[in-house]
Amino acid sequence: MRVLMYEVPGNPHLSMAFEEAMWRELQRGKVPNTLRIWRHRSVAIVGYFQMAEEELNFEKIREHKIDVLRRITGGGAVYQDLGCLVWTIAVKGPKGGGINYIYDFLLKGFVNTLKKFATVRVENINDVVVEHNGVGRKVSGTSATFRDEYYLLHGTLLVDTDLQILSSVLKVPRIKLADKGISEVKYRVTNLNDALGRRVNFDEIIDEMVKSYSELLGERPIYDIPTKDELDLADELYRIKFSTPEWNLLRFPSSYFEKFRNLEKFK
Amino acid sequence: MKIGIFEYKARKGLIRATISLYDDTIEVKITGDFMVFPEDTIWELEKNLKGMKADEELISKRIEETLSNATMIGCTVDDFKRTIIGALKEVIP
Repeated sequence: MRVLMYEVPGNPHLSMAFEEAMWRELQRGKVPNTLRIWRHRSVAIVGYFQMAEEELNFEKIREHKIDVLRRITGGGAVYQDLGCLVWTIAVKGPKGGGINYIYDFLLKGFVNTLKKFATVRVENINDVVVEHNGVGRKVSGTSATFRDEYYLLHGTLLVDTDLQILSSVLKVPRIKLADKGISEVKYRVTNLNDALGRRVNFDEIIDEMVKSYSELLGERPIYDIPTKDELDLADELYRIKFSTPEWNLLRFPSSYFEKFRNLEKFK
Repeated sequence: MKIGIFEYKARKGLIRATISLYDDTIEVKITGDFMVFPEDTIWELEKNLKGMKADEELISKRIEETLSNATMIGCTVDDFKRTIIGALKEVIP
């Protein structure tokens, strides 16, 4: 298992382009199973099916100079700052494993990591919840994609994020409030630090996560740096896709960006 | 042109359909935090619905056909039908 600590905190668009580059290179058989751990300075990230203006409060986005970015996986909007750990596990797995392989198997690596620190349970397929004074609090959002026998699961871990900014930036759809009230766990987020009542060192978490995924996959961790092709492809994807309003704001499908010719050599 | 918007909370995920009715044909946008695989099935659905007459039965059938092979987490083909038809009802008299 390759471990990448590669991050570009000040340029989330490039960092997200790198994630897709890594995912594509994995599917081409060019890089091994990889655990990537990264962070962003300040960014709101919407799911693949989401329209940024429907999910984000742009007044606050401007006020706090927050970047807006869309990702290649479905699910909901998140806010990340340097107090939020971001992780991606991308692997070649069994054929036909589908979504079960992701949420019944791959997610375990993350859940086992958190278990070293707190009482954890998974609710509603993929909500990772930490027990805090007898109440379940969400400290992480995860999302995934797969193609053939290749699987990608990524997620956040709120450790010391500014929750006030988080809640002012993300819109809560009225229908959800009406439906379940704010009792729905999705809106009961907290920082791991607050849940535990102590400051957890990022390095502590990272060490446990590397150990946990290495055990789960049965592969020795090898700390590495990105390949040149990954970095080149990331630059290309940044230029044609992740830096554009068509991708970030207008919800164009990934297929739209495939027509740009320079991607050909990475097929 | 008329615009209809309908939101539906599935077991997991919110589905939002925005329908534009031009004369008598429709265009649909499906957004939200749901999870569907392969992802691009959603754009295929939008493409397949584009230009259709505002006919509930035909539209339901087209939705079923397009989504029949998709994998969904916490939502169903019926949820998408309900959402899109909900938006349609806002724009047809």
